[in-house]
Parts: sequence; C-alpha cells; structure tokens
Amino acid sequence: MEFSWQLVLKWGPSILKSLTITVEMFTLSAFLALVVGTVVPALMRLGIRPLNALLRIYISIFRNSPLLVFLFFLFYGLPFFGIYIAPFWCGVLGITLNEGAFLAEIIRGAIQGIPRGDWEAADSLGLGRFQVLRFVVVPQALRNAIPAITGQLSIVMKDTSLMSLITLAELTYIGNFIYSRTFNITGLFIVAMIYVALFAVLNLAARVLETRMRIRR
Amino acid sequence: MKARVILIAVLVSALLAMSSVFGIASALDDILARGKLIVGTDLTNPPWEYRDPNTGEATGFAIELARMYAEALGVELEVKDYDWSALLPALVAKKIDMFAANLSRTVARSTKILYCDAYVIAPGVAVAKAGKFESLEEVNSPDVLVNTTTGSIFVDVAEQLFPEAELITVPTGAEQLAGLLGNRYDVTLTGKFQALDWMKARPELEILPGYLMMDSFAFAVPYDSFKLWSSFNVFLRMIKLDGQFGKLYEEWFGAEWDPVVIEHGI
Amino acid sequence: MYEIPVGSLLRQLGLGTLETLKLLPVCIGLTLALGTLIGALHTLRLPLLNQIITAYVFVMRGVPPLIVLLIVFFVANIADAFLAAIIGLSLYHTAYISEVVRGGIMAMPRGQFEAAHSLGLSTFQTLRKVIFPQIWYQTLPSIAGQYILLAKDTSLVSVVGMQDVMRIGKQLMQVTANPFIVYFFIGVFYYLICTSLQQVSIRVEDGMRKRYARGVTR
Repeated sequence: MEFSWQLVLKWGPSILKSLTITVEMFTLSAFLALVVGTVVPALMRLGIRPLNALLRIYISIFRNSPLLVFLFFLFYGLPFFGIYIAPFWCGVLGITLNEGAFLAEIIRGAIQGIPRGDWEAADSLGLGRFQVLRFVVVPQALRNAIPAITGQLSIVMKDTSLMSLITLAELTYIGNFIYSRTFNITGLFIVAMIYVALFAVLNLAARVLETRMRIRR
Repeated sequence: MKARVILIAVLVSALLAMSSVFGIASALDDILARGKLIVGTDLTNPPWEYRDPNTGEATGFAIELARMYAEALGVELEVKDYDWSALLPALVAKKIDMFAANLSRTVARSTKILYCDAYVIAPGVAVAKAGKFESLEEVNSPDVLVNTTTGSIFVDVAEQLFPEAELITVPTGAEQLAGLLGNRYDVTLTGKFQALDWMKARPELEILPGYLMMDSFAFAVPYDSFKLWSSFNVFLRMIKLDGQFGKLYEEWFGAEWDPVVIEHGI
Repeated sequence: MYEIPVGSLLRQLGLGTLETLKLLPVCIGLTLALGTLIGALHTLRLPLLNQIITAYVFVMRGVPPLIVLLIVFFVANIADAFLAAIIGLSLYHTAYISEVVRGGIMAMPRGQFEAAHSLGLSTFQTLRKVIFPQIWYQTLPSIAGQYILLAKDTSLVSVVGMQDVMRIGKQLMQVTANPFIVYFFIGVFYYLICTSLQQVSIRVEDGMRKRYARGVTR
C-alpha cells in the first residue's frame, strides 16, 4: 500500500470538486439544522399540548434511527410514490431533520437553563411569551450552548460522508472511487486528512466564537 | 537401538516438514483440508448471483457452477457477499479462495489475479427507461448521467465510449436497478444477461440497440493458487465436454449453449 | 422481479438483524475496556503517550466512521467481515469513550487523589478503587449516548462485507416491488434497538443513584 504522489496529481481536480460539494452540503445542512434546532424548542415552550407531543415524537424518531436508513428511504423509497428528490437535497433534508432533532434537545436543555428571573423580568417589562423567547431567552441559550452546538456540527460534517452511498460525488465517494480504479490507499488517506483538516477549521472557528461571546453577567 | 529410533523419527519429521516447505501445500490443499471452498461474490446480480427471494439462499448461474465444482472436489461451498469493488482486493488478500461471479477479464486485472478459463461470452449493453434514447450515440452528451457499479469494467467502457457524459457509480447491482427505476440517472451499463433479467417484469425498461463491447466472464483465484486454477480449469473443460455445462446453461437461460468457444480456445 | 411474501421478507430481514445485533455486545465491551484504559492513561500526562493519544482522539473526531471502516477494510487484511467491522467501529468509538472517561476522572476533586496517595495507594489502585466507582454515575449518560451512536453506526458495516440488515435490505430491494416497506422495517428495527439501549441506561442510572445517592461528590 504505497503512497503515490502521481495519483494525487491525477485525481487532484476531482478531489477538489468533491470537496466543494462536501463544504456546500455542510454549510447548507448546518444552517438549516440550526434553524430547526432553535425553532422546535421555542415552539415547545409555547405550551401547545398536541404540538409538543408531535415534536417530541419527531425528536424521538430522528434521534433513535440511523441517518443512512432515512437517506435510503428518501432516495430509493420515495420514488415508489413518484416523489423524486435529487441526491444533494436528499442529503440536506436528511441531515437537517436528523441533526435538527439532536440540536433541538441541546438547545431545549439550554433554554431550560436560563434562570427563571430572566423570564419574569422580561415579562414584567410587558414582553409577550413569543417576544421573551425571541429577544431574551433564545439568544442567551444559544450562546451558552455554543460548545455543544459546535460538537454537533462536527457530526454534521461527518454525516455528509454518508451521501457517498446515495450517488453524490462528495469526498468519501471520490476516495472510494479512486481506490476501486487504482487499488491504492492514497486516495482514501488524502480524503481522511481533508476531513481532519476541515474538523480543525471548525474547531478553530468554534474557539474564536466562544472567546468573542464570553458571557459577562 | 534407542538412538536409531530417535534418528528415524527425526528424519521422518524432517521429511514431512520439508514437504510442506517445498510448495506442496497450497490453497487447494487448504480447501481440501478444511472441507470448504470459500467463494466471494456480489449477491445483487441476477441471473449470475443473487439471493433467492423465497429462501434467502445464494443462488445464480455462477453460484451453481461453483457449487458443482465444490461437489466435484468433495467439499462444501461457502459464499461470501461483498460490494463489487471490494471483491478483487478481497481475492488478492486471500479473504476468499475464488472470485465466483460475472467477472470480466481485463489485462489490468490480470496483473493482480489469475483468471481461470472463461465460461461464457456476454456482451455489455446500456439500459434506460423506454423511449428515452434512440441510440447509443445519444448517450454521449454532457447532459446525460451514466451509471454503473463501482469497480466494474463498465467504468472504463463509459470513459471510452461516452467521454462527454457524466458518470456516477453505485456499490451494488441492486442500487443500479433501483436508481434507474427511481430516475436517479438516465442510463446504466451492465451485462446483457443481467439486463434481460431486469426486464423480465419491468416493461418500462429497454435495452439500447447495439453492444457496448464483447465480454467474457471467468472465475479468478489469487496469483499463487496454481493448483486451484488448474483443477478448476480441468473441471470446467470436462463439464463442457460431457454436456453438464450445456444442461446448466439451458436451465438458466433457456437457450442452447453454443460450444464453439472451446474450439476457439476463448 | 418477484413478489415475495411479507413473511419471507421479514424472515430474511430478521437474519440480517441478528448479524447486526451480534456486533453490539462485542463492540460495547471492547470500547468500554479500551476506552477506560486509554482515558485513564491520558490523564497521566506521560510525555510521548499523551501526544499520541491526543492525536488519535483528534483524528477520530474529525474522520467520518465510514472512512475509518473503509480504511480498516482495505488496509488490514482481515479475513473476516465481522472482525473488520468490530475493529473499525471500536477504533472509532473508543476515542470518544476515552474522552468521556478522561473528563470524568479530571472532574474528581484533587482531594480524592491526595487522600488516596497519603494512604499509600498507588496510582493504579487509586483509580481502580477510589475514582472509578464514583465516576460511573457521572459519566453514564454520556457513555450511554455514545453507545446509541454506536448502534446507529452499525448501519454502515455492509461496506466491509457483513451480511447485516442493510445489506439484506439492498438485496431485497432488487426483488421486491417496494423498497419503501423494506427500509421502513429496517428503520423500525433500529429505533427499537436504540430506545432499548436508552431504557437500559435509564434503569442502570436509577440503580446507581440509589446506591450512590449518599456520598458521590464529596
């Protein structure tokens, strides 16, 4: 299993192309998952009983089933009903719903951690339930939960690798493809290193964000 | 007296040890010793190898051929199922004794593994939803998404014949079919027999006119398993001569097998 | 294409689920043992070992488990798909478990270590008899959470050739008219496994709370 530099040169362009797909999918899914993860617990705080039950079921289903099964479901199962979603969007939808559930739990915990005093103070200022959430509680909760959220986002990055199994030509796909053409491990190693580099970047960004948002009470 | 006995014992053991060192032992001997022939395949390629939908057992033309060989050797057959692109590495790493599937012969592969005699001629074809394409030339265009199995010979074929089109691959034959039906790509490349099997109950598919290339399938063994290679070839030639192969062919494909391949030494 | 009776479909899926289930106890045992060892070693701050472990954990946090499985499968000539799956999954998850254990150990007040040391206990004995019994209670939720992730990652092992439920699902997809049903059943199966793991963890946590409720964080 030799490491070959010629291979890197030959397959470089394809690897870069796959890298852009991975990054695109990551940014889009991460953003949408965050939206879902914020909206769901906020909605649950509104206290509408049937909605809460529904949202709890959603969270339970997506926290307890593998993303891959859901992806195959979307990709091979839906066409049976005539619904065709492109692989990229299957991936985005899958990650958003799946990680959204995890983020919802994290942010829900963070919201619960906001002291009752803040709620009451905002209430006494005349802010309605929804406004309290939007302007007082959720921003603080998000800030408190930054470490956990960035941890979850690194999992979003790793989830993008599953798209290789539903015909999306992202990093893992190209690594595997190179191996099947050349029987040389180089491709997979390079891809692994790229993932680690992406993770390092994410980590760094998280650290910067944490320092800048250090809470002063 | 005692010394003599010891000396003889030492000599005998030395001889036995030498016989295993000097290359008498081999993969075939291991197979016979353990009573099991381990073949690797991708069980999503009917009619060559697939799971019987009712019993869940591995079956198919290639599997039955391997089973006949195992019977001839007097051992059991064990079928190991992998993704197509993992099979050749598995053979080279000796995870399996023999690659028993619709394996095409290419020079590139022949530098890594030892091919046995070919057992069937099978052209490659392109399959698409009916009415989508009129001819093979239309496939060679930048808006066409071509598909095949990762690691299959059709990846090279696609690069040669359809350089303009985009190529995406999937790990197994099952996903090829499911993707084609699900409009994931415009056309997929596969062998004629597999295409015919797909079309048996799916009138919405059609085979584009013309063959992509002529192909021959053969089993393969690791590079140093000469005894196994030689033994399988003898078996294959014998069953072609005595009519058993013809019978198997007719059972699976409903057509008479043309023995001209033996004469042309293919 | 064949119409398979639902009974046969379920039976074949069932065989696949058995293969998947076989993985869990082995992986859980292996990752727990190794993860505890590595986590403990990490806290010792030995010069070279520390760097190696930190690098290992960092890489496993960055690389997707699918890539780990692929590299293990293609690099190591492991003859058995089951073994390859175990090694791949354990390699990946041990890193996370080791971090949880390390966090648990480091959260112990210094006083515990000093007291044990003054009583003449070696580091090893301290860890074993004083620290570990206390950290299990704190770390159990995180460890249980990690094992639910492990259970979900078993859906990836078909790439190393295991006849697990996902692989059987693919093969059935080819012959059945309805991939939808196949993957629905597979989803239900995984859901049941994960929620069972969750229930087990809650029970164990309750049991532990009763035993340690008195003097945990003193």
